[in-house]
Amino acid sequence: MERVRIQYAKTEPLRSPTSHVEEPAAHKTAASGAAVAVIGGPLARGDGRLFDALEKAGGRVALDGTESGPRTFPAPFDRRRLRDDPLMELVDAYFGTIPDAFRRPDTLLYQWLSRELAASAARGIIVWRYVWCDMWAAAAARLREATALPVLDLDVTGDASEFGRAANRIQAFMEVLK
Amino acid sequence: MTGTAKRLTMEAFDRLCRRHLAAGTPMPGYAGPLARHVADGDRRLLKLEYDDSAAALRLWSFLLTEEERLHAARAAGMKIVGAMKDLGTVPVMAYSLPNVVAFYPDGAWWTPCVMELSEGLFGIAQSLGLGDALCPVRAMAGAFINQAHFPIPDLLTCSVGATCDDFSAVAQRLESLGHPILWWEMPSRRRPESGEAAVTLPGGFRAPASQVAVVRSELERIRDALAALAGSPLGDVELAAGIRMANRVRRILGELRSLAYTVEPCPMPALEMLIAEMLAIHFCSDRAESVAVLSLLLQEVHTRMAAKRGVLPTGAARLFWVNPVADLRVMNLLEDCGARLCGTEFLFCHALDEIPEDLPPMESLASMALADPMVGPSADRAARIVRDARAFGAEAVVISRIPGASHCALEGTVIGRIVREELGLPVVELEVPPVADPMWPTLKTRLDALVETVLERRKR
Repeated sequence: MERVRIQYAKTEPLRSPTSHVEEPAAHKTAASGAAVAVIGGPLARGDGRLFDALEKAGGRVALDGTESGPRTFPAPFDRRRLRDDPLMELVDAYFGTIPDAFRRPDTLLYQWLSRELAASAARGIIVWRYVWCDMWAAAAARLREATALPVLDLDVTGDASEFGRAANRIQAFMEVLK
Repeated sequence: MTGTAKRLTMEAFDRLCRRHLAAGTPMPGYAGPLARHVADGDRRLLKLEYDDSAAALRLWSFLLTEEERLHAARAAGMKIVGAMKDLGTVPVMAYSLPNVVAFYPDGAWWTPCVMELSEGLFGIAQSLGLGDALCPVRAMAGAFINQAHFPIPDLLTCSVGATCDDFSAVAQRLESLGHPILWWEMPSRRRPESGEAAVTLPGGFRAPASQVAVVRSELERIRDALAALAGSPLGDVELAAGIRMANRVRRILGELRSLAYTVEPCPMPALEMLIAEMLAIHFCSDRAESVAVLSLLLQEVHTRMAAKRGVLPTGAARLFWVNPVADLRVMNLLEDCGARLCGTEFLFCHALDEIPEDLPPMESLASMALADPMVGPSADRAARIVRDARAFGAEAVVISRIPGASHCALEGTVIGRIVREELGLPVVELEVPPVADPMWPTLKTRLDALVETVLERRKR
């Protein structure tokens, strides 16, 4: 079966675990520090400060499992099926393979985590969730059980003025991991 | 009060019960004083006030003995289905089989109220990562853990897709704890596009025919699972019979609602009406008995009407109530403030509307499921509220928020705006926690003010 990942826009490279909407120069080069997975909801413009805070506290993002990261890419398309039955290929790629907390059951998410956490050698998980997101709120405790890794359940409001609290919590979490 | 009908304290209600039992009034075996439930921890019963009738005695005993009924069903070899979230569809299918009973584990959301938080369900839920940012339905997870409130079902189903996020999250947590769930997809109901094949659903919403087909195919999976559980086929004949029985419950309840929400003086209190409406969604685990209980309530209403006797003074402010209250006592409070119920939308109007009997059963059930007010836009729900509030002659609308419930965050604004625009009625939004005692003065003041507003508007 011939599979290929479609690149959506020629002018924009595919996202990588540490390339985000807004990417401060500091973490383009950061390769040291305690490896951490960031899992959860979407990162908005300006949320690159999460990575700054993390690196400042001595960590680095080894796995981006946010909604803005590669976790939510559709599966590579099968060229032959794309030609013969494009609708079902799209259905499978978008509805059948993207692991997320909203899926029922959410088995795919934990399979993905198991694989990616092992590959990233992450020593801890930051759950990035908006206070109104019940899906990720309920997932935090389960992530702790499922991975046996330390988990920081980081609730955010999207209000930049409140990020100081999040930064303090990240710093405390990184001290635990050191 | 008008005439002799009045609300009773629990002590007086139990005296009434003992008198009826001593006098040989025909009562089912489950009927008895509420004090026995208080002894089991249902302390909120001490603070509620009850309708002064044998029909209410039977209603309350029926409600409070459901757990025993479920255990008895299991002991008798029957299969137990725990239907989650759809509020009215899966039980109609389950009760079409002779050896299956169904109930809603979701109902545990009222346990913290009834037991005044002494049961610790929220604490257990918190320990599972389901904190107070989620709907009180998280108590359900605690009930699965401590197994002190209902038997663990043989089959769990849960509708997902167009479902409250918090409910879906709680159900997923349950599955992660080793309770397998048969998930079935409920698409978000949308309005048909121009030229698209469409159907009118029970209750009046319109939806694309293709969505009914999707729901039908999902319900086919439920049908297969139920048949496998029961060890007997669940064909269209059995389903049609089940729909007819469900419609019998709905017709009685429909007449009861129509009278209780319109007749002067008010012939049945708000609290009993709330409980009566709840019977429609899964028959309180005994379909035949729910018919008997509702019939008695209806008979009591007719008797009171004939005697021109009510439970409230004539002229009480007529309130349409949106969403069930987490604390049952608030239903007493609204009457203490000089108001009466005049229509409700307790999240399950699709379980009150009659199911079409002139369509193939699975199509009827799919249409009903898709008519759930919670699976479409809030504007649809508001339209239904406007229609019913107008029909019942409501003078104000109360939107009762449920703390932490995801649907309550914004829908009140939408519903309130549409009700004001369409009906020009005053709208109040309240938030009612499972035990509302600390908020009593606030709630009372707001309801008092609403009643005053209604009475003042009558002078115009």
